[in-house]
Amino acid sequence: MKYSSITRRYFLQGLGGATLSLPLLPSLLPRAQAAQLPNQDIRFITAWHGNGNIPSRFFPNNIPMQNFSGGTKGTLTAVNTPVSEILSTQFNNLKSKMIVISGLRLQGHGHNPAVTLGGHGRLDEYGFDQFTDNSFLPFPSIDQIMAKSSAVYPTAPFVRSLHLKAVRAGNRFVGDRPDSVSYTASGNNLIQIPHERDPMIIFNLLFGTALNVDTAKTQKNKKVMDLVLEDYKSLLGNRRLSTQDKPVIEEHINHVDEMNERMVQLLQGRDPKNIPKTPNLTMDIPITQLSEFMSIHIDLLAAAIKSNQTKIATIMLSRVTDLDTYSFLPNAQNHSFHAETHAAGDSPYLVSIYRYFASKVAELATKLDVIENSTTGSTYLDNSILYFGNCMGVGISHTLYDFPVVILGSGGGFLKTNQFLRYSQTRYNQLLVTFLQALGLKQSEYQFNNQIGYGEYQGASPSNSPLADIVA
Amino acid sequence: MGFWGRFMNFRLVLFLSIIAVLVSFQNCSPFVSSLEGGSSFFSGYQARLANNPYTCLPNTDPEVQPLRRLTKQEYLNTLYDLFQGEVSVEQIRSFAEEIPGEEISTSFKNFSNIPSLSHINGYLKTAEQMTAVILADNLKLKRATGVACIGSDNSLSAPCFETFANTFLKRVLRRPILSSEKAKMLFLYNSMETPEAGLSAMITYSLVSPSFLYLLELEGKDLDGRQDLLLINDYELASRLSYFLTASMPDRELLALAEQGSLNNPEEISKQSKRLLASARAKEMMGDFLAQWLQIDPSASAYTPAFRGDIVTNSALQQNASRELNDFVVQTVWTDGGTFKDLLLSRKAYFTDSELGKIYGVQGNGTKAVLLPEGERLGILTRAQYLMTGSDDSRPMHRGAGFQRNILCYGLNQPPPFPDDPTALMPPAFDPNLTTRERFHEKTNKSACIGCHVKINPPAFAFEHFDSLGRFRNVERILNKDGQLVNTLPIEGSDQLTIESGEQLQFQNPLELIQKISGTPVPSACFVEKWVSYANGRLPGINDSCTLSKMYDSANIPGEGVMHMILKLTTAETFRARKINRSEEI
Repeated sequence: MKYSSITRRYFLQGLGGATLSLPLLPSLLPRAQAAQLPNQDIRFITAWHGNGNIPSRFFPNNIPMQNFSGGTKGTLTAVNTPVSEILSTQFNNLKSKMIVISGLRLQGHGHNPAVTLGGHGRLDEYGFDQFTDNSFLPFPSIDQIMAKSSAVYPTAPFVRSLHLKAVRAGNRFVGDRPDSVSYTASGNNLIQIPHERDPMIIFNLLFGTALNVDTAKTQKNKKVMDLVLEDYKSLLGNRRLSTQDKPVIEEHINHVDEMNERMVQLLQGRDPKNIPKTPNLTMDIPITQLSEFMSIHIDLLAAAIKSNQTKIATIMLSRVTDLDTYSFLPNAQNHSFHAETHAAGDSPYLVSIYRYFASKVAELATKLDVIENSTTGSTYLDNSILYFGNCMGVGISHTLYDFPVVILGSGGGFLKTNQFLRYSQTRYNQLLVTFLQALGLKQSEYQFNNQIGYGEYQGASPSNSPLADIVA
Repeated sequence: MGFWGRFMNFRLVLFLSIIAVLVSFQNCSPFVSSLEGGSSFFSGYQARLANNPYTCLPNTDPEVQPLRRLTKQEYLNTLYDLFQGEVSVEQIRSFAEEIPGEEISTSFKNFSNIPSLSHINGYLKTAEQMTAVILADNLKLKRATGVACIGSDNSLSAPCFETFANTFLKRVLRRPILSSEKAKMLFLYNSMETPEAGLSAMITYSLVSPSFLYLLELEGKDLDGRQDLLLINDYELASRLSYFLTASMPDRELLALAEQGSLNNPEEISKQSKRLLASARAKEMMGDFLAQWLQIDPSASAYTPAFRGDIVTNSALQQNASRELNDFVVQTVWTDGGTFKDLLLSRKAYFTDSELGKIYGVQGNGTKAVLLPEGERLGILTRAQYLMTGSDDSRPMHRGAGFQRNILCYGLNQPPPFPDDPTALMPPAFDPNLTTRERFHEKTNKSACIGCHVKINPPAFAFEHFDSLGRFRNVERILNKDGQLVNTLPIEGSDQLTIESGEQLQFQNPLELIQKISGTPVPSACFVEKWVSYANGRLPGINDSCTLSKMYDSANIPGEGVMHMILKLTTAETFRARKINRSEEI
């Protein structure tokens, strides 16, 4: 059933005293009270596209703004028009659950996917340090820190983190450039977490075995994987393993653990609810089917969230340096997205592409905006943070400031939605700290080398603080 | 200066380090002294070529070798070889479909070692399916495992279990099975309801074990009583050799030598390296190296008809161009014993495709060499596969930056931000009266840009003599956005380039540029460093200098050549040792 949050909220407010006997929606509670609620499953989902954006067309420009200590801010529902030219009509029903932020920045430059969730502005698109002070210490991206946190997963999940890439084959920049938004760190290197493109692989990973559980085979595999887990744990303790090799084995152990948990759940019997239809598209598709292909990815992601298979996910809607030609969109030209970014910077074709990506994020948000908790009335989206991000601000100049940031959902009431904030010179990594805290992580879980904070501004106040103005 | 720039400065660091080593020499604990045989393990090396930029430091530790997981290609090859061809390549590929390839990395594919859930899931599924295929046919099972005593019901008697463990499982693990591992296997076998299920569980288990999926080097001998330095054992060495040269598991001969303990000496390693290099897999390895080194990934997209003329620009053209480049290198290195300079300067070509012939202006003759037109082509950098850009645009800045990064190993930063000028990083506007060079020169000839573009532009502009399909040209046909010819302008390819050594090279065209850089040590040094990266799954470091020095000489000395250069890598002392990083700081 499609749930209109505005209608329901208005209804509850309209009941006045009668609502006192009803549990309040967590998102309506102040933060302190929200924090006292039973721990709701909070998810962190990142929807991402590369090649920057057009800030002047991405951010709202017609809502009344007022000053605050960090810049200016306004209320998204204050006007009836779409949020912006790019955040178009598809977001109209989501405004009250949105935060739009402008003015966050980092050092560095270029196509840099490690920026979005890692704050690594100083790494260039090849993953190399752009600066020469040798002070760079790599950090995992926040989704990976969350995925390994007991605050997020008190018990082993079915899938610790899910990584999807809804793009067509090919269309990559010449060479082996990074093409992931999720990273783990090993020694002084960042290592990319692979993203899966094939819907069938994603489907099988999430639901395939649930459809037809072969108990004998699963029992056999469980025994095998239990022994395998012992082997990897034993290997981790080997004194001849180099320090920087340990994260590799730890990552392997985490996934074997996940596999084992999956098998336990399968043997216990799975609730078939939320299992989507088997995808009928393969990964090699013509451009005319890209939208459908992307929707399949979105369906699978939404299903994974709703069936509680995972709490952490990333979905890439384009490659990091995307060379596809979006010929099915209005005003399309006969050349690639990347070429248009460089050639035009601001054109009807580019606006179409950016609007298309935004519409897919709205599609995902809408699919998650259905009631999860009938007692509180909260939706899956309410209990999630869906972060729509990028690795650049202005596409044409590849700058790492004025990132287009959209947040949908309040993280179970942690965030204060229905806002547009235009910061002046505020550090991007404070946004990442906000997300980490929203998921319940303690500072000790995400600070490294005993330096306070997270990201490349570590140690410098106020980098260890969340963005106070978006916290409820 | 970026990472590569700093890295390339390691020759300077090397000089300073020599002084540091000499100062601290008395406290140095060379690990050579503990080796049996009394010969010096790190014997030092006197460079033979005067321009060899590397200085060999004796008694230095090897570089820290990161743990490697099999790449997808290595994994597929290994399964095929392990099951002795009883499961077809196509079947294995389809079983392993869910295992992600190394689509992304910062350098070579084997730098990527972090697994994802898709990997673990895929490994288990592939192992199950491989096992199911051979268990479905008892004869196939016996042939695939090489164990003839398996019962007709796929059961193992006690003696047959020993045979199975000591033959098949040994090949899976690429080393003898430990007694503790045998006990686990037996436990697994006995805990299943049927013997067949037991055998299936054992094979599946072995195929997802760390010893199968990772190149573990943990069993060697401590050197000089140090816990951070190992002489890797013969089995581990067999795997190092085999995965580098053939991208697969050690064959029977290597495993037999390891069992005898007679592999770990330079003579035998050299002999085995030559044997492996003669295999078809080694030639595939060369193609793989080329594609990764030169960052070749063109896509034959739709070019405007006016641009492509009568050339059919489909994926077959791309494949044929790729094959031509690979065949050229294989013939030059394997058959002709060529040097690196031959790779840079030879005009020989081996191909049949007529579309490629149109690009080169000469038709090929299959496996018989034809010479590409004089004055138009020289070596690998003028091959169609290297020059194709996948668009109508010759993409000069990408060519120039690629030349610096991949051929000269010069570190280039990304351009700085230009917050006040949003058009700063846009390609220059179309102008029917200007060549691509002229437009880009005007765009980049500014103080904020020229620091890097003084490096990028000269090779970029020289290679303007090749269009985006790789056709040689002396004039540029200017097409408007509708693909209509609006002007024809002469190409100006002359320029000058200052290379790392400080030498200033003046050239009239790309061929002169190639000839002049081939006379300097820079591209050869870059080439050998790329090979060290490719072989080890890591960047080279200062402690690779001895190996690099020897490789550099061999790559450039006629009569030795690239083949000997590869042998210098596998017979280096550092190839047999492993340094462990025990730093707690991550």
